[in-house]
Formats: sequence, structure tokens, C-alpha cells
Amino acid sequence: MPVLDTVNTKIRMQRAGRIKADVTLGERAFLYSIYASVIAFALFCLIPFWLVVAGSFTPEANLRLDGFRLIPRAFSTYSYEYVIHGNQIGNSYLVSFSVTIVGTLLALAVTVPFAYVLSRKVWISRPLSFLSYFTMVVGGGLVGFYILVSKWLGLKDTKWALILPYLLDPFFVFVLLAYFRTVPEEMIEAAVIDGANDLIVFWRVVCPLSAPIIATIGLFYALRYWNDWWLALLFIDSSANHPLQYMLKQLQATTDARFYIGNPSPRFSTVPNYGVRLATVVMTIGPIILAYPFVQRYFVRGITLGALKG
Amino acid sequence: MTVVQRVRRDLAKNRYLYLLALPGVAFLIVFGYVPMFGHLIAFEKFRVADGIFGSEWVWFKNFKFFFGSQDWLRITLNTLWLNLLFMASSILAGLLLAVFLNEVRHQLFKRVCQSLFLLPYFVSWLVASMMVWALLNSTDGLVNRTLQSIGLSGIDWYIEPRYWRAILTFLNVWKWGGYTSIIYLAAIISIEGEFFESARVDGANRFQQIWHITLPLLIPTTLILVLLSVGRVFYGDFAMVYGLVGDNGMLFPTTDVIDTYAFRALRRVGNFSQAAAVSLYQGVMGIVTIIVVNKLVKTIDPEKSLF
Amino acid sequence: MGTKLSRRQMLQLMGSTVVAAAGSSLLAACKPAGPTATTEGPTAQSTIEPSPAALEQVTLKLAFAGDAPSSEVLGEVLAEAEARLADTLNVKLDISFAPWSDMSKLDLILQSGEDIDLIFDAPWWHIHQNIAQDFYVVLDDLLPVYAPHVLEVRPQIMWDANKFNGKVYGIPLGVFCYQGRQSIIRKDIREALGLPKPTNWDEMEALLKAAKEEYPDMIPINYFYFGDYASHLTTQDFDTSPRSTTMPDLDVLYMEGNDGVVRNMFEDMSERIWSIFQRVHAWFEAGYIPSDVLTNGQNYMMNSGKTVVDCQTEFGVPVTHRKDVEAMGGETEWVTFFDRSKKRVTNFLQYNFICVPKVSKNQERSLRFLDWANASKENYDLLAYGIPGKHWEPAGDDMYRVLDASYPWFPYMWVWNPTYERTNEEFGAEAADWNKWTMDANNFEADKITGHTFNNDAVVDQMAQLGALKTQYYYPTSSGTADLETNWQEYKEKANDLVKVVQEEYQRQVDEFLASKGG
Repeated sequence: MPVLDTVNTKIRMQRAGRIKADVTLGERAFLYSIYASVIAFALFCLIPFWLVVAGSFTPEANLRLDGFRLIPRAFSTYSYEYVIHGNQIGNSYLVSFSVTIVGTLLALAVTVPFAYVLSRKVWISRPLSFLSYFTMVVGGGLVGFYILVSKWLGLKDTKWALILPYLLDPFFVFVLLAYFRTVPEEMIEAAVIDGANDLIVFWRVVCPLSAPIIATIGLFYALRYWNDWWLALLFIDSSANHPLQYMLKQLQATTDARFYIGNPSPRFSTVPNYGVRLATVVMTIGPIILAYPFVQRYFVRGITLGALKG
Repeated sequence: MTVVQRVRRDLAKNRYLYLLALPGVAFLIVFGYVPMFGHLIAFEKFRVADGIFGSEWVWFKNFKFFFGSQDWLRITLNTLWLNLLFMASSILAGLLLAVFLNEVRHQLFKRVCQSLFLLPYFVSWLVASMMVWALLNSTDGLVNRTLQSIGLSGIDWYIEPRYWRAILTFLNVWKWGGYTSIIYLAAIISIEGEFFESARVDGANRFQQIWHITLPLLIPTTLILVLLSVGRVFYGDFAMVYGLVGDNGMLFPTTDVIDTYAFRALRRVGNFSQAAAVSLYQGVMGIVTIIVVNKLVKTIDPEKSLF
Repeated sequence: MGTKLSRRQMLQLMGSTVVAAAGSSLLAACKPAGPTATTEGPTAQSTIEPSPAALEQVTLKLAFAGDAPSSEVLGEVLAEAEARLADTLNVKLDISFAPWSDMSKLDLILQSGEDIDLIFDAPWWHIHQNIAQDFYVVLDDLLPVYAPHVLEVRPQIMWDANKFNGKVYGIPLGVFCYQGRQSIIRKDIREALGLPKPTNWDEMEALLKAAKEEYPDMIPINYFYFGDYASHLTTQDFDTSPRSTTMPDLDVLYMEGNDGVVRNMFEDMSERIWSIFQRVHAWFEAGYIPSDVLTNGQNYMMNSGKTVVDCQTEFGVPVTHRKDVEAMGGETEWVTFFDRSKKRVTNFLQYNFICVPKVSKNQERSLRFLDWANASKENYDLLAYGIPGKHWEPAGDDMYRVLDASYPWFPYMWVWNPTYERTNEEFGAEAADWNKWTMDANNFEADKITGHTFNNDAVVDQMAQLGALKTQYYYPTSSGTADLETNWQEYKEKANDLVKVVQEEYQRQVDEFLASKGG
């Protein structure tokens, strides 16, 4: 149909940035206000973080006198040298990395299929839904949890104590569930007609379609494992098994970081207590911010899939 | 048909689904339900020597320290009100951010913003409180200095409770807005491009497209987020409130939540039985809330309820 | 920066003293001068069962709180200790530290029945509850048999004053009779103002006033521990010794003089204390006290260069303060208003204990280990200061010099005692002299209720509620930030009924206790 072709062509050319869309004044104002809001919030997020970064590169004396500044009066990497110098940092990075990677993969393996089952119209879904939600609202209580992990499962001072308790988060289950419900039933039926069983439907049809949300949940799990210090506080005694966040927490709580880092070099005659707190924040965020762009690919892929279908 | 028979029949029909759900169920049982026996100590005079199943049963005695105080209602209301403010504001912020960000055409800008939005999630409340201090303290806080430079007088932020609900809500949006927006972004991306194309053909401008297509399609996600938050409405964000307010009694009228109150009460005197009693209270109230809200949602649209 | 008060800071105030950096210590004992010398513990001449020559190796688990040293450094010191013990006790030592901010981990360990051999506890922590919940072994009969040295190195008064319900539930770890108090002053600023070193609070106030006028950007006086200026004043008041029932810091249930009467501030407010509250509030109104003192944490400490006077415990300017201020071109000095001509009433309560949980399977071995630790200066020195020659070296018999500060100072967790204690050289002679003075029991008047333990079973709910209310109403009063009349009235309305119940119960128990002592 010629008219539609023209319109479609026009739209494709617009997308390619070739011709300017017929944009009204109202639309333009709307677009500007959107950009303004986005930039404002981005700054709102960035500036405190920037202050932390700037502060981490400031000598301790300046930090105490001036506090946070956008442009510090003096530059120094002393805090970082201090943190890195001890052996603990290497250990902690290693522990955090391994726990995060293994944990995220296992958690996805447990959570995604579970959420899928909950989204299907089978009898078992409703009871399971309620049972999952129930645990989210009524926690197990600290004492019970502690006895379970340290005594009954015997996981004290092992990395598994850092991984297993977070394998299934009902919150993520329900987010996935909501998403799975939007998968068109026709696609699943088509696959079933072609002879697929539930496993194949799940793996070959639903998962690829849900790549954006699975990637999102994977990211959230990774963040949770990476940021956690709670499990370490409860179950880890030897510093060889301290994840990064727990090490940071120790540094923040001690009056004298020197003890924890174990760092007797005479070079470090003064202890940068504030600087250490800030430097460790930056060192925690670093890997995640670097990894995030890789995850973002999945968001883009979703768009491509949608466009192809059209 | 008994439950067992029901399950058996379902199992035969959907054995692969059961297989897929198995690890999750195992996890729920081990880490979700088994530790619940710990709640029993809320009703006991717990003695380790006797164990959880052998200690003396004292019914509701451990609840008295909380409900016997004059403040329990005010604290509960504080908790509820703050949580509602937090929930509404962070979900709204997440939604708007995602919608706005989706309108941005420039790919690099979009990606950079997405990363930036996530930064506050990483800044712990300890560090965040240092920054809030730098802004609000009475000697050289940035906010007061700015006010004074334009001729207004500074405010003693840390002894005036009335500003703090707003301050806490604001900070909560800062921390969680970006995180929430990521969930919404994933949902928006899955919306068929066709809808927008046909809308544009029909002459709708961008604003109308958002209003009539995007937003309605995000209602399920919003509902899920609301339902998920509502069950925790009796749990205060201890890390946040204690991190920012600490032991500053002047601010308690508007910021004291169940968790901080219990913490202070139990810090000097208490034992785990009393702490368990408070958690149980929060959990039970949460369940009641979610059942009520879920029923409500069901009457409007059964598809969108949790269970 | 840093709004949350860390446990470590609370701890410092409560007297289990860690002064930052190069470790510190107060001088030794609360030795009663005179003939009642050191060997007065219950049956110090004991019949020790000789340890069998070759014992099976056992790992002792210890649970402490605080700044954990790195595994490397701790490992070194423990290895040396284990080497020395190889032929006799043959133990391995496994120490875990719960951070100050999360000390509840210690509670969790006890409540979950985990295998622990020795654990830290304190009156300001949960020792009363834990004893009531029957977690700890009674040590009266065990110490003479397995740990006579532990008994020997602590004076009798320390044992008497630190029993609970008349029994020894934990080994008291401390050295002094009454905690020191000082105000640290920026000497250079004081001299620039042309004022002499203050000798009382009026002169101090004059200093604050002048400082406020000449240096409007600085905080005249700061106190990070809940801004409890009132307590800072009352603890240095040797006329009537206002204090709470157990701690030197003030509370609504208080005592004054030495008559064994438990008073309630709402119904029976001492004029002296009320005038102190008024004075502190006047300071706030005059701008000497920062309005965010309740939240400020460490922000205005001396070493930020923003404070003129800083309220602290103990004696002697902490090393970090001194160094940081000197780096800014200033100078520090300290002053205390303790009055040597008067005797302050004190109950000799120590702030740290080490206890043996009942679940421990190695009770005997643990006690023998502590015995070893308290048996000689060398053993004590090792655990307290580290490896001699590497981490520290002696500076005479009584003092020590830090060589390598990576081994932190934490004798108050397990071995602290007056007999072997060394002072850190850094503190100077005047502080050392004051420390000696507070060690000597003869300089103090024993509180009538010394040795009494309050059993709070009957009033545990009231006390929990009061705990929550204290933060809300008491500290705003004692820090001067709240409007005195209205705030106190509100506090009274909410708390008076609770306090009365606790007061009656407390007085009843005190009367019983005094009657049983025959006076």
C-alpha cells in the first residue's frame, strides 16, 4: 500500500536521523524538559559521588579542615596507597569476585526457573507464590538463621555461607513473574504444538524473549552479593575470607585503620581515617561501574528483537 | 480431592515445571521456613541451656516492653507514614526517570545516565550521612551558608524535627530512584515498537504516546512494586534512619521508627526474645497488610494480584 | 563527617580506654596502699593441681569486641604465645572480633549456643542479662584451683566490688578506681586571649566567652559522647559526687553523697544538678555549644581544628590530637577539675570482664590459659603489647615505648590488671601522676553499695522503655540543646511512672543489701 510505504519509509529515515521529524513547539518544549530533568537527576546522583572521589584523593589534613569540596585544595593518593599496601585488599577483592560471580550464576539458575513456574497457570503456582511472599514479610529471625547456617549446615567461615543465603529473593521472583506474564501465550502454544516440552519452552522461547529482565535481575543479584557485609559479619571470622565490603566496614568502624590493614611501614606515619573511608567506597564501586556497560547490551538487544518482529 | 492427590496429579501433568521449581522450593524450605522456628523465642524466656524447644513459655510477656510504652502507636505511625512516603516517591521517581530516559535518543548519553543513576545505590548511609552533615551542620554547612548569602537566616537542621520527613524522603529518592528506574526500563523496552508507530501515524505527539501507551503498559510493573513494598511497610529502614539521625533525640518525633526504637530499648537492657517479639509484630502486621491489599487488587483486576 | 557514634567511642568514655594510635595505657593498679597488699583474693594460696605433662592439643575460642588486628600480626603474637605453651598447656588460640558497631554478634554467639571458651562482657554491655540468662560459669571455686595468678594480681577491693549477686561471674579487667576526666584546651588560643589556665568552671566559662567573641568560627566547647556536658561537670564534682546508681555518668535515677538512697530526678531534683542543667543550657544559648552536638560524632574534635575546648575522659592529651593540632601550628594542653583535697565516692566497678560460657568444653584449660597470662610480666607483656623488640620495648620497669603500632592495644579484653600494667611513654609525667592518684583506693570513698548487683528481672520492661526515652529526652537536656523547662516537663510526664517503679525496686534491693552487710 503506497501510503503506508511512504509513511514507513519516512519513519525509517527519521530513525536513521536523516530527516528531522515534524516536531511541534509543544513537543520540543516537552523534550527539553525531559532532558533537563534527566540531567538534573544525573547530577544529583553524580555530585555526591564526585565529592567522595575528590575527597579520596585529598590529604587527610585538608579533609578534616575543609570537609567535602568539589575541587580539593591539594591532591594526594595517600589514602589509596594506605589501603592497597596491606595484604588484605587483594584477599578481599578475590573473595568478593568469586562470591559474586558464583553467587549470581547460581541465583539466576534457581530464581528464573522458579519465577517461570509461578507465572504458568498451574495449580501449584498460587500456593508457591504465597509461600514465597510469606518469607519476604515474615523473616526467619536472626537467631534461627544463625543457628541454621553455623550449626546445622556447618558453613561457618566458608564462602558458601556468603553465597547460599541469597540464592532466591522473593522480590526478584515477583518482578520476573510480572514480566513473564507478559510473554504472549501464542508463542508458547506455538512451541508446544511443535512438540516442545516445558523445559524447552522455558529455555528456548521464554528466556531469550526475557533477556532484558533476566539481565536486570542478574545485575541486581550481583550488586547484592558485591555489596553485602552482613553475612560476613555473622559467619566469617578469618580475614582470609573477608569480602571487600566487610573489609570496608571494618575500616570505617576502626579508629585506626592501621590495625586492620596490618601496615607497619614507616612511610605511613599518620592514619588517614576519613580518606580511607572514601577511598574504599571508590574501590568498591569501580568494578561494578566497569561491568555495567556490558550488561547494558541486553537492554539494547531487546529493542532490536522488538523492531525485527515488527 | 486431597492436597496430596492434587499435587500428584499436577506433578504427572507438569513434571518438568516441578523440576524447574525444585531448587527454588528447596531453598525456600531451608532458608525461608526452617529458621522460622527462631520466632518461637518471642514467646519464651529463652535459655540456651534449655534450647528453643525447652525454654519456659511466657506468652506475650516479651511484647510488653514495646506495647506498654506510651509511644508505640506514634512510632508505628511514623514507620508507616515514612514507608508510604518512601514507596510512593521512589516508585514515582523510578517511573519518571525510566520514561524520560527512554525518550532520550542519544545512545551514549543514555548509557552514561543509566550508570550515573545507579551510583547512589553504592554510597552507604554512613558515607551519605557524612555528606548530609556537610550540607546541614550549623557551623559551616553548605545550605546555611547559601541561605545566609542571600540574606536569609540559617536553620538549625539537626534540632528541628519538622523538616526531617521531607529530608529523609528526598534522600530515599536519591538512593533508590535510579535502581527502581532500571526495572521500569526493562519493562519499557519490551513494549512493541509497533504501538508507537501506529500512534504516530494516527497523529499522536510524543507526550500523548507516553500518556496513552507507555504509562498504562507500566501499570502491572507498578502494581507489583507496590505490592512488594507494602508487605514491608512495618519495617523501618534502620540503616538509613540510624545512619542519618543516630541518637539525636531532638529529631525522634518525626523520624523514630519501630526498628530504631527497639534498637535503643534493647541496646542496654534487652535480649533476643524481646527483639524477636518486635520482629514478629512487624512480620504479622505485614502479612495482614498484604492480604488486605492483595484482595483489593484482586477485585479490581485478578490478573495483577500477587496470589 | 561521621555522624554515628562508634562503639569504640562509647567504650572510651565508659573507661575501657583505647586512646587512638600508638596505644595507651593508664598506669597500674588501684592498689590499696598499705598492708592489704596484692595476695588477698579468695584463698590465694591454692592447691594447684599440676597440669599433666603432655596434654592433648585443644583450640581455645575467644570472642572479643573491637578493632581487630590483621590476621598476620595477631597470628605472629599468638604463635609466640602458643610456642611458649607448647609443652605445658598445648593450646591453639582462635580469637574473633566483633566490630564495635556490631557488638550484638557477641549476644548472638551466646544465644545460639555456639562453642566459645572465653567471651568479653561488661556492665555497660549485657553482663547483667547474660548472667540472669545463666550463660556464664561461676568462678569463685574454680579460680583458686586453676587460676591463682589471676587472683593474685588483682587487689581484694576489685574482687569485692565486681561480683554479681555475690558471686564472681567474670574476671574484672581494669586498673583504676575512678575514671579520669579532662578538658583539652587549645593552648595557643588561650594564650592569645590572655587568659590563665582555668582552675574551675567559672574560669572555663570566661575562656569560652572570650573564645566565642574573638574566634566566632570555632566551637568553644565540644563533647562527642551524646553531648552529655552535664555529666562532664558532675563527674568532676567531688563535693557531693552526683552519679547514677552504677556509672559515674548521670541518669534520672541518681545518687548523691553516700547515704545509700536512690533518688529520682523527677521528684527529688538536687539543686546542684538542676543548676548544672541550667548552666549547660545557658552555654547553649550563648553559643558555646554547637546545636548539632547530638549528631556531630567526631566532626568537631580537636584535630579538625574547629574546637577550642574538648571534653574527654582519662588524663593526658591523646597522641593524635597533639600531633594533628601541632601540624596546624597550634598547641594543646589539658586540665582536670578533680579535687585532690576531697574524696569522691565511687563503687570501684570495672568496665570490662572476661567470662567463661557454660557451653565451653574447655573450661579448665581456658582458666589455666588465663592463669598463664597473668603469671608473669613476660607473658602479660606479650599479649598486651606484642613481641618485645619488634612491636615494643621496655622503657624502665613501668613504661613502654611503641616500636611498631600494628599490634593494637586490647588488654582490657582479656588480661588487664594493675600489677603488670605499663604506661605508654607518650603521655607525660603529669598524666602519669594523676593516674597514680586515681589508682590509689585511699583517695576515694567507697560507695555504700559497692558490690551490689541490681537484678532487673522485675523491671526489665520499664528499663527498656526508659532506655529508649533517655536518648530522646535526657540527652537533649544534659547537652543543653533543648528548652530546659518544657523538655523536662514532657520527659517527666512520660517517664516518671516508669522511673518510680524502678526506683522502688532498686531501693528495696539496696536496703536488703545494706542490711545483709550490717550497715
